[in-house]
Amino acid sequence: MSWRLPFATCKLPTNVTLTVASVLLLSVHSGIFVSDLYHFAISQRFDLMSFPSTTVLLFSQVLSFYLALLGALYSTGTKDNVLKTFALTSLVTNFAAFFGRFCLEYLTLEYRQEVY
Amino acid sequence: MLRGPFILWGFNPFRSEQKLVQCLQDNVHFPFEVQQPKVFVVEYYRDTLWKGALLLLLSAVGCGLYFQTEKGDQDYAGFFAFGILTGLWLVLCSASKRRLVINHRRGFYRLYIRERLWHQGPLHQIYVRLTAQQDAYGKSFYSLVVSGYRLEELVLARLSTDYEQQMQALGRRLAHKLYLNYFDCQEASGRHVVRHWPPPLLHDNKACPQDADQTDRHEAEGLPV
Repeated sequence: MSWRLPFATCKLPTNVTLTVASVLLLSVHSGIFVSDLYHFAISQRFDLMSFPSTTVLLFSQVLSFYLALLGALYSTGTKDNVLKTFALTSLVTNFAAFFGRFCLEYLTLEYRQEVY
Repeated sequence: MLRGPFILWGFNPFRSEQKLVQCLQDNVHFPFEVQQPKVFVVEYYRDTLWKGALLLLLSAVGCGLYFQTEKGDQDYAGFFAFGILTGLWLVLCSASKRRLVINHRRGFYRLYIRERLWHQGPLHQIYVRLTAQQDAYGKSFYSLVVSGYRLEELVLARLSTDYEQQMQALGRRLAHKLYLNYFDCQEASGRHVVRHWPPPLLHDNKACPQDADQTDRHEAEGLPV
């Protein structure tokens, strides 16, 4: 099968789609996480941190972890070792990203402005 | 009543097996058409097309409305971005027409997406299957699907409760008409009908015909098959 075929038909196998989606979400999350860390630790401008979108961020991180988990589960049936490694790496990294986000939210609890 | 490539879009939450019975009365090979004797063809669009389009539309409208209203403490615009991206992906994936050909003369099935060959496989890898799902009270719901290796599921009737009278009989009848393997919802069952067996696993390559590709090539080159 030609490598161009999935791009021409716009159809990928399920495990590849899920893993790639989780990796894309992970890259966005790590960008936001690095920016948060920078504003928290170095520049100390807490108004620039991602406090207004905490709900969306947590939802999206859980979604990303779930996609990575599904991708890893679907990939266990295949014989493609590269894909398996990729999917498991995505799963572990997503978990690490969620853990880091959780710790950061806990640390910055006193700097949040809550309006009820 | 939907026709043509939209024939599988009819969504009937109640008594979907009755609708399948009606369709089978019109066309015994439903949803396939007989192109030549022993060659069955179905052209279809996936039903994620309208679902994705609906999601895209709802997200776009919701996004527009959200930016009109006054914002609170939390910013929820990300949800609409998710909706729009997911809808776009679903529409992009399922916008192209699929064609599934079951060829009993050559002994293979082929799935074309946008007139490009996506997968070709031997007939023991495509099947008619009854799937069971249970709700919280232990009641079973049965769906009838045509599926296979690297194929998309074609759902013919979904979530019906009538197993004994309708579903298994319909499945067996359809599998008989299409001459495909039929699998029941239970793993070990006397109702499985296996018409195509996989080739025996031997180390000898000659005894294990790879797929019809080689046969085709040999035919095209005029070599003995």
